[in-house]
Amino acid sequence: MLAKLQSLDRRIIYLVVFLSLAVPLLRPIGLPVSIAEETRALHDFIDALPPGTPVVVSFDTSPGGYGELASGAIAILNHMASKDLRAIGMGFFDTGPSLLESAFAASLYAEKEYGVDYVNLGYLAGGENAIASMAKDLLGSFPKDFRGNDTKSLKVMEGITSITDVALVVTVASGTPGIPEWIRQVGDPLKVPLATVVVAVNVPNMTPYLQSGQLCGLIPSMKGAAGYEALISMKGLGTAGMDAQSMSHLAILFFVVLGNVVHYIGKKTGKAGGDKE
Amino acid sequence: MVQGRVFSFWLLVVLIGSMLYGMWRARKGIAIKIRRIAGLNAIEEAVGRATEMGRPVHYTPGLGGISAAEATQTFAALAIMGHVAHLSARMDVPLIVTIRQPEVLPLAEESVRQAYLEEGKVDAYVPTNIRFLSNQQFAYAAAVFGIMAREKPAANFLMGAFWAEALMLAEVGSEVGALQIAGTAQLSQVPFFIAASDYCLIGEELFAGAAYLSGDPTQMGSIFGQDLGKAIVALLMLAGVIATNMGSSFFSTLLGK
Amino acid sequence: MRRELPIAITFVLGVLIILAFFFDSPTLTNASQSLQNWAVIIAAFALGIASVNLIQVHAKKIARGQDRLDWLYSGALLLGLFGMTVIGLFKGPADQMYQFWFNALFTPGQATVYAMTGFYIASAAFRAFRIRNLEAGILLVSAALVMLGNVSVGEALWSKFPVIGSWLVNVPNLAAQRGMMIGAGIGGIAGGLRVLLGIEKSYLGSGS
Repeated sequence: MLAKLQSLDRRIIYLVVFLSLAVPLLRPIGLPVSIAEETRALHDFIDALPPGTPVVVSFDTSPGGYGELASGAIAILNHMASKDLRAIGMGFFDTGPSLLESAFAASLYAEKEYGVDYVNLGYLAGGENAIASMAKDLLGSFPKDFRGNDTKSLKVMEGITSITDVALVVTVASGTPGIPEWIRQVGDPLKVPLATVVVAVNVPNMTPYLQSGQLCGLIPSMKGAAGYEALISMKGLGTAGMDAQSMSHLAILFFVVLGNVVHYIGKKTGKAGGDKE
Repeated sequence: MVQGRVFSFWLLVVLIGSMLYGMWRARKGIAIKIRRIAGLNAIEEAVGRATEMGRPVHYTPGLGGISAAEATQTFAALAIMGHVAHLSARMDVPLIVTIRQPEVLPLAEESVRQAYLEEGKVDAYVPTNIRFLSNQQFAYAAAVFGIMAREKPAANFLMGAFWAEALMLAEVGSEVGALQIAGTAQLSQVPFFIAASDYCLIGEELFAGAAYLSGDPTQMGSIFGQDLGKAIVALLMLAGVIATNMGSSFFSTLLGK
Repeated sequence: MRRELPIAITFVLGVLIILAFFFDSPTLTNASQSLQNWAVIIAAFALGIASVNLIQVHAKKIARGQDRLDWLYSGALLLGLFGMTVIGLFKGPADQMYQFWFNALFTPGQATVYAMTGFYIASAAFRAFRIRNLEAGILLVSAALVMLGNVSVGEALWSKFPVIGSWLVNVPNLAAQRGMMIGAGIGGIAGGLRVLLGIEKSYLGSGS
């Protein structure tokens, strides 16, 4: 028995993790959702903006990271659309604008008019250099939008000539360029408020920026999205995923405990194993 | 000068000054003692293991490019790769290098080719072993999984900037039984490398690694200078904490300049 | 000259970009901006060169028809590479067909690989998270508390889990992260300086 556990087939671990994710998704338990302070701060910031205010939503993520960020991004877009805010979309990951198209389609913006209420300006290559270029010349950096329209001619861009004309930038970020690059090129030098929807692994790295006020709000991964959905009273992907996330965390904790029990018994009975030598 | 960057500029000047001093000191012949970094000392063992097992070595210089903030990590990874390439050529073991960023490919090719040339093994250099896989993060990761599963390297080097694929790359390496040496300055990925690899270079150890392996006194001197710079920053932080807690706004004003 | 010229160019352009970051001079800013644009263009050309490498490797595999189904995978890769390039070039990325393949194949493929992290975390936790000594024990207990604080079930079990989890993340963890961040930052400056001064030149193909 001990020997079996010491050399536990990885596939058994994978199966348990899969079930811990899939079962709650199919049969939700309805665990309570808490709302983080920084998520509430972002909600309140957006809530206080008057209708027609332009907000930049930058999709700085790949389809991989987007799986974790979609719920938060759509919740923000839904909130913005319900407040009649203008959404100026862009992306500094080559895959960002395509993901933005599907996010607009999945949000309340789908019922609004493209070019009047929202726009997808497309991708600008160059990572942090591209963000710097956009900060210096927004319209020059995006002369055409993602769908090939002349950016200046779009109603949604009325009165916007520079990034300083927008009330807030929300970056949906899973890597580089991401939050530090936006802070360096836009937040700090131009004093444009920044917020982010971020993958869980990067949440601890965001704390210094929140404490220093360089970020005015944050949606930490799916948990933050569930909180945001509760704030705007629109249940979505975040709420649906919370039970699955809880159960998978418990499954991982179970394997940690099991691993230690096996290690301890193995040590007591003098059978080393379980570890890769 | 740009508002808000005055202090950073002078701090950079001081840090560069301390590094130049370290290099000057080393050039004058003053011996520098640097603690042993286990991960770097294990490189030879890892390549030797691959030779004994008749299996290849896999090296990735990370997923970062050469023009963003991670550029220094990529350069450090390329420098360590040069060392691994020399050892691989010397021990007649195939070295597979996988690349994500297109602009890193010519640098990696040149570095490995030159190492084989310098070892007098130019015939053993296989250009198609330096492989660009995809500039898409997870397509690259999936391709590395495939290479690991098919070619079963006995040594797996993961150096440079990594993101969400870090743990997966190390776990797949562990599955195929490779001895793994990882190194990154991407702080969010350090815990994964520590958990899943045999040795891990944490943050600055990656940068120091290239200098450490070169054995060049000037480069070693820069590590001394780097530590001197760290001491200066630590003193500044201590002074800042004490002054701010005593009600002085001197440091916060200074940082805002 | 083969080495000296690139090192000289690296030094001059590197210093120029550093100065442009600190000094408010239109000349420096414009020069730095142009250089950064060139970098983007060079990177785009590098993608072309890298694609040649990719095609070489996979064309060889197809030609040899070796290794079980490898040739088939290589064929699928080349088909995808050329297919998406052609659609993107002639119809643009907003085109329906491009978007279809992007949403139906590329996005789920990438998301699947990313999602696999969850499985690997479990296997790594089982294999590596062992209480071998006091430090490892503290690490494990802290990790468990943070994990329970991060999910609803933790809060449902005990309302203090999120409070303890947040404290662990924001105080001891952050203190260590900042220390590492400062160390890595200074290490990065030293690494950059070695490259700018041409002391570290192994990327140019010189020996170690």
